[in-house]
Amino acid sequence: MEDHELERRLRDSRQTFAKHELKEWTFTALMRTEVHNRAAAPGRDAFWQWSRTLRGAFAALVVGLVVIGLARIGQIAPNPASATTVQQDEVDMDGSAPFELVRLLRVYPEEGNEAAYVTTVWGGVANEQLIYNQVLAAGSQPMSLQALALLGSPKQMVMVSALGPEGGLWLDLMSYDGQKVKTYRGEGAAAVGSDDHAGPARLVSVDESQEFSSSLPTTVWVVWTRLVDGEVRFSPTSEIVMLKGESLLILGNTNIDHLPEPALLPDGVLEHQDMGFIASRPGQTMLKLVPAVYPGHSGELKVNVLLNNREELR
Amino acid sequence: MPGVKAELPVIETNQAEQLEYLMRRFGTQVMQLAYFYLKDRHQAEDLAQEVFLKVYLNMDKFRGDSSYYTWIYRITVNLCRDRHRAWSFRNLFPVKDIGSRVIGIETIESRVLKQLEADEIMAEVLCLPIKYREVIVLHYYHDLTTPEIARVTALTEENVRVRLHRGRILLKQRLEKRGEAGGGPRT
Repeated sequence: MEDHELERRLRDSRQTFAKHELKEWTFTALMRTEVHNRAAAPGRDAFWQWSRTLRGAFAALVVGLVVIGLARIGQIAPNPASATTVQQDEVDMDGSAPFELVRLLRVYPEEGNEAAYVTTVWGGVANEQLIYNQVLAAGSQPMSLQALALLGSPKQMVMVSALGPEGGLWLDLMSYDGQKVKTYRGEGAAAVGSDDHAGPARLVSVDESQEFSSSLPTTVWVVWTRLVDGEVRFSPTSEIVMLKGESLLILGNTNIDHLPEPALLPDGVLEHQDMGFIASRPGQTMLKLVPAVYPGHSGELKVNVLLNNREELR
Repeated sequence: MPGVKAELPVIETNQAEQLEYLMRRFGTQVMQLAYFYLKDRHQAEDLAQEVFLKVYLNMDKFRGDSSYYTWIYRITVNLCRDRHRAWSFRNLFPVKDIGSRVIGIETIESRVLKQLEADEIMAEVLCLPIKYREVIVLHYYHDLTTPEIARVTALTEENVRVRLHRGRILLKQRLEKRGEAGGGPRT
């Protein structure tokens, strides 16, 4: 697209905007009166704020209860304006009790439209608080929702895989640090670690909260491990090339009790962080995994960290 | 917004009348600007009221160094940024995505959003990272010049130009991707 074409479309869009129904959405007399009332009684404003907060909390509670009610009813008939739980799981996403409740919902919009799918994460003491939701694109077909163990961390991640509208395979990995959910997204067979001939998955963060901190999305490399006859097998590779600053997640789809503890060479190329490792300086290093249940065996992942030459990644 | 930059009459009335005048003059623009940040009609209405309360409380501090609309827009931008940064806001259930589907009520907002989303470029503008979205919106939808955006957003003019440039590049990439993929993988 040429620059002048974009300019034209933006200008046209502004005209469309001016003609929109938003044009009828005005700052009403009622709103002005509310401001006057608050302005006339500034001492009352603190009460107004509290009152508003309480009203908001009450409304949120009512909406929450309705949504929870809809979500907890597993087998609602597929009528318009209803939701059905496709799959749910309790996952220790933040590494502490209580576990989070992760749910994949099928939502039926207005009659005639096809169903939409929503992933929700519920936290709080009784899983009463909706902390995250993600809508899959229209036409996507979810394949699975799965909890995954992270090496070197008590936390677990959630993986949602889906067939996109164009038939491609999509993967969302979600982590939760107790305050916010981060989502990493990838495309293709490599993303689910199912193809031994494919490269390791390189996923891009889609976390909106990074909008203020950086225009560059965070990328992570995801390497999978399996225990085969006591040996740790990295899937689909035993060597990985990263850029400085990128993160590395080691995911295990084995029993969590069998997860090996990672050991790093003391060279500072990789540094352990909350959910995995970060490439902190250029160089080569080795990540060694020794399974607790098979101490005589191990697995090694060679990591080559580059400064910033993206071309060398290939 | 057409006419926004017209010189305001000298207001020599009491503060309540000034407030009423400013709300009538800028209320809708403020609310619509807030909508571009918050993407929620009720949040935008609430924030617009907060803006004018702040205007009222600080009216005696306004020295006329800038125009009313620059001053009010700056307050709006600051409040929107604060609201957007708030954890509680970022994690609100986005009505835009599933609210109307779950509840099944055809609200004015859902109709408006459908129209907005039908407008491809508008939808992509709304999905831009906030730092690019705000300069694009102020420039293309509120007709502010680069120096005016700089004053409203407390950025340097150079920074505004850079963000406008990068925002346009991002928009182009998104629109081209949308064209290729026929809508993108996720909403």
